[in-house]
Amino acid sequence: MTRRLGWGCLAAVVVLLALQPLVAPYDPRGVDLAHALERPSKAHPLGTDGLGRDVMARVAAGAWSSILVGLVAIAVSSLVGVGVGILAGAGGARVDGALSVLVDVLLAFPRFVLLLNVAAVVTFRSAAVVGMVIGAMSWMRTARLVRTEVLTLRERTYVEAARAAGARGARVLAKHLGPHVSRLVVETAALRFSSVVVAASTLDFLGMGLPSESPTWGRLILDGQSYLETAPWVTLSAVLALGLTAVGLTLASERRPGDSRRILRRIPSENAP
Amino acid sequence: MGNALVLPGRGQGGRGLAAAVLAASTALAQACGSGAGDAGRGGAGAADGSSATPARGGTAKVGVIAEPKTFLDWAAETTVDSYAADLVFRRLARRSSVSGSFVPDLAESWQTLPDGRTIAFQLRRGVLWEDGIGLTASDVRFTEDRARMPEASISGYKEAIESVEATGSHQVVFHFRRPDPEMLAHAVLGHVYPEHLLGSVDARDLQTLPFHRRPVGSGPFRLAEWEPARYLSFVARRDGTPGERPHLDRVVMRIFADKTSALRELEGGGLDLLFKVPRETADRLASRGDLTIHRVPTHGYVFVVWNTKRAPWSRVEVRQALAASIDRKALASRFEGTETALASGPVPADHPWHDPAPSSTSYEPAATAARLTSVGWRISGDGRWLDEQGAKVRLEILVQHGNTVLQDTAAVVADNLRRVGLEAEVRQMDLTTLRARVEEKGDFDAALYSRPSTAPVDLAGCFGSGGAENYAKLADPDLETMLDAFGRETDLEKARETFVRAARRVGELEPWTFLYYRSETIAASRRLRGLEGCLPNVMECASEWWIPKDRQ
Amino acid sequence: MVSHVLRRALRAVVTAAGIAILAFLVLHARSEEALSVLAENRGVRGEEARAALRTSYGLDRPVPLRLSSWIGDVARGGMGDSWSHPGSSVARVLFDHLPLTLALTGSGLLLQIVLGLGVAAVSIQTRGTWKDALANALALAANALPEFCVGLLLLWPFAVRLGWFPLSGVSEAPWEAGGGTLTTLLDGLHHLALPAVCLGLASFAAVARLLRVRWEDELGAKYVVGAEARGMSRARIVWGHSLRNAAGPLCTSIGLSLPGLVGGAVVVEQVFNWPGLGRVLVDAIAARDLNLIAGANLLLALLVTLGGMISDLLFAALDPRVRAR
Repeated sequence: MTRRLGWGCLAAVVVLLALQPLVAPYDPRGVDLAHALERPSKAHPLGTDGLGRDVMARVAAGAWSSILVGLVAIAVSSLVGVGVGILAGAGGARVDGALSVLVDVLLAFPRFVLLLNVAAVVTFRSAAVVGMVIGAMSWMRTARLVRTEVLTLRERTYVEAARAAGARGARVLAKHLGPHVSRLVVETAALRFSSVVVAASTLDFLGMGLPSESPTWGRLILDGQSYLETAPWVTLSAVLALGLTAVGLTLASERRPGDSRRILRRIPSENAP
Repeated sequence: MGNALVLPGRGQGGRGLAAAVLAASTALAQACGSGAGDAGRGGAGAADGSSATPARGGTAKVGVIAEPKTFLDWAAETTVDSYAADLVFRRLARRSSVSGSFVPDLAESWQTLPDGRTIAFQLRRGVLWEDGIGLTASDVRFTEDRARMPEASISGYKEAIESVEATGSHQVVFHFRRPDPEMLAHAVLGHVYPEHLLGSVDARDLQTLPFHRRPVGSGPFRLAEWEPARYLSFVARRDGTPGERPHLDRVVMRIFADKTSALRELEGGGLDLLFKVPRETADRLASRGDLTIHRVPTHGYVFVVWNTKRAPWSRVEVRQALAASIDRKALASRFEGTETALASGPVPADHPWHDPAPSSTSYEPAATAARLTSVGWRISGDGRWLDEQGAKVRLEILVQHGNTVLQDTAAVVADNLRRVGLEAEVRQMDLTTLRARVEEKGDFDAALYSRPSTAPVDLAGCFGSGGAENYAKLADPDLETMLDAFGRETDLEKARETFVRAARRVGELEPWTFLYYRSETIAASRRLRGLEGCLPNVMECASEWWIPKDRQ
Repeated sequence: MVSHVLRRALRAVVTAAGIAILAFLVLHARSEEALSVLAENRGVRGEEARAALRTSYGLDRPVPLRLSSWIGDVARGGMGDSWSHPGSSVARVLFDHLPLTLALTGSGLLLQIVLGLGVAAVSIQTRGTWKDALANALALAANALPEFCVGLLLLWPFAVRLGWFPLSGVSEAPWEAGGGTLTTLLDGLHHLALPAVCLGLASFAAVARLLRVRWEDELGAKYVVGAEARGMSRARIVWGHSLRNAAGPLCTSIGLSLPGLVGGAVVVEQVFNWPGLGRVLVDAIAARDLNLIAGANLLLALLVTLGGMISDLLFAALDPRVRAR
């Protein structure tokens, strides 16, 4: 039932995105000073902001921006995580030791604080760069999981290889690793996407994220704060969109209670920001 | 008197003229300077509309965004630093309003000497530092010497001063590099600091000085408590100046992380004073009975800089066409609440040499098409302009990140330009990168800038080739001739004519498109009185604030 | 036992140091850009003045030298001078604000446990029904939302609209003397309430889930059957032994949630104007005060690693099965 709630939330966001070109076909940058801070109406289903820009169009633009950031981040963190995980699992005790220490050290630190530090030195030129940076901070858990998979597989592979002499360990490893790793990446993708979107919007809210004109949810919430008394729809629309996306993705990734138990015994909780 | 012109530092000429101008301003200064002490003393209550006498006691709460870092001007970074310094330290004189007269503070009188490059100040006697030592001319001399050192953040404003000498225990003389009608403003800029405590400190140790957190001042208040990131508490001094004491017992500076939480506190009654209130909020607050909104127009303005060295913005017809496509009246209305805030040129309306004939282009978007086709452009199928080579015309407007007003202005300007068919985009970046790209590398199409109110009118510096503030990289031969002539002119009336012609030429060339003048918006609780004496720099007259007995 | 604790402590400190050094290297890789911001803020123009500034901040030295110099500063206790708080050492600034972050994180942790316990208890009682699923979903939703959203959703109705809680800050009119310790304490708690609730809400889901699973397991164990047979009341069984046994691993889970909690505290401090270490870090980053950022990183890292160590030790202390090993 939890999962159905999750899908429902996501469906709401998708509906919003689909409807926007029909009911609010405005340029998100389109200024209209004469119609600033207007309540939601037929012409503007989610109202307008301080410069008369349509809120629904801006929220939709923020959605696309978030999707881009999320996809890039997932790609980067998956690539790096899988790479490091394989290296650690298959590279021998020394390499494994060194990489594991690195992963432990990085995981011990609050990820958001790490992100803030990096934001101090990197110029965010585009949403893709934001995605890359967040992705570069998010590969650690994937690496750990992949490493475990590789190690388990190695055990079995050697046993098999010992029995069926002649088959090369590395190729067997690769053949069996593929489906396991991809399944791992896909299963955790939704949760990771959610945490990336949350991290990016928090950065934007603190004024440290993307410094461009294109609206992101975090910026919309930040900018709308000054009108919270008179025009709450500006902030609340973005809060709703962000909330539905994050909550939807998390709930949809929920496993059945039985699965929970199995997983809890294996790995620590994923729910850190 | 107001912000008079600044003569460009070209050649050795201009003395005769300068002397004439200065003689005029000196006469005015003397009229304001000596003896006109009423504004600085115990304050008549008539100015604030009620004829009540100021009551003693009470605490005023001022809201600031960002914590003051230091009380020293030489290390100061933001206006918050100067707010704090205004309470604890004094200046030689202060201004009663943006273009108003100078009111004596530490200096009780002053004279400009006939050579036009020197001002002599006579200091008030009996002013004591918090540790009981008397304030003397050597403190002023020491402060000025330190302010002119290259590491000091205000050294740029003090550039015109050549040297300062203490000619007596309470006599100071300022020597300027060239005749300058802004001399008085330059001299009194900044607070005076104690030589006996800071004189022996090496400039390199400046960073670690305890004085930053525990100042010893000569002002009406002293710092009693500093809770980091929370508040600073200042209490009234009884012994600072002879026969004078602030009405209030205490001023508390409450620190907030952002404007929104400060505004919440203001509306909830937790603050008496807040600066730089955003316009929409100010409009909403104005209808409340317990708050007064003071909007003080300043000489600062917002403008678009065009890169005249980059095609197609290098063509004057293009710049004029684009300028005519921007609805500046609507911008003034939106950001300043009134069309009269429209800025039409580099010379403010209350300037003695302001040209009443408008030199700036008016809003005519319909004519843009004709203007642009006349330079060889044409409109493509999807309504976008193509230049002579048939490439789509793209414009990127750079603006400072983090400043909502400038960002929003840029968004509106870009939208105006998109409506006439240009591909206009806004790119935000942090101030340092912005300045580097515009001023050092010249790598930009257009940028949105804001000029501070304290910046003087300086045609040569802003539009002359080689000028320090010539962001547009303008180099027009006609204008150069005019600016040269102006610099050498000795006759007042001829200088004025040349100046006006030069200003008109600037208007024709449109290197900058002037948008609107900015006002300082201050929100004050009704219970806090006595602010009218020195708007908008109200912190400077904190000794005149008072709160009625029943509201304390 | 003592040697075990010491070894853990050493590991915690070394891990924290590792992070801090990594962050230091990252920050100083772009120190010219930081210098530009510092110069811009101070109004310093021109190559000469900029060079003077560079020297006074020690940024003209090679990075390894800067690092060893910083390590020396840390060992001496001051952690260097803060560039954005002239006149104060980094340690001074950090320790001025540390208690507030500790208060916030501590109460956030407490609320996390309380809320987790509450939701887990509801789950246990209403196992399998829609109420259980709803409780679970709400917990996950609160966790999934960004902390600043939770903060705004709490702030607006309860503080701005209803006025039940203060709008910001740590206390009312602290500059006015008077008011006993009790009033100050109550006032402080009043101000702490919303930020702490925000933190707790954003992080209790993991606790709830873990507790619920383990609790269920415990309730199914053989000793429970025996206890029931002996006539022990249901309430005592649920809230007594089985909870205590289930709580052991909770400590580890809490230790693991510390990075998230501290990261969340940084955000919550911005929303509620709570002047703790998070505020210091954000301001220091804006001002490019590299010394202060480095010190804040170290302190935050220590908070997390030492906190994790404490929770692991608590786990060992609480769970007799672990101790027996």
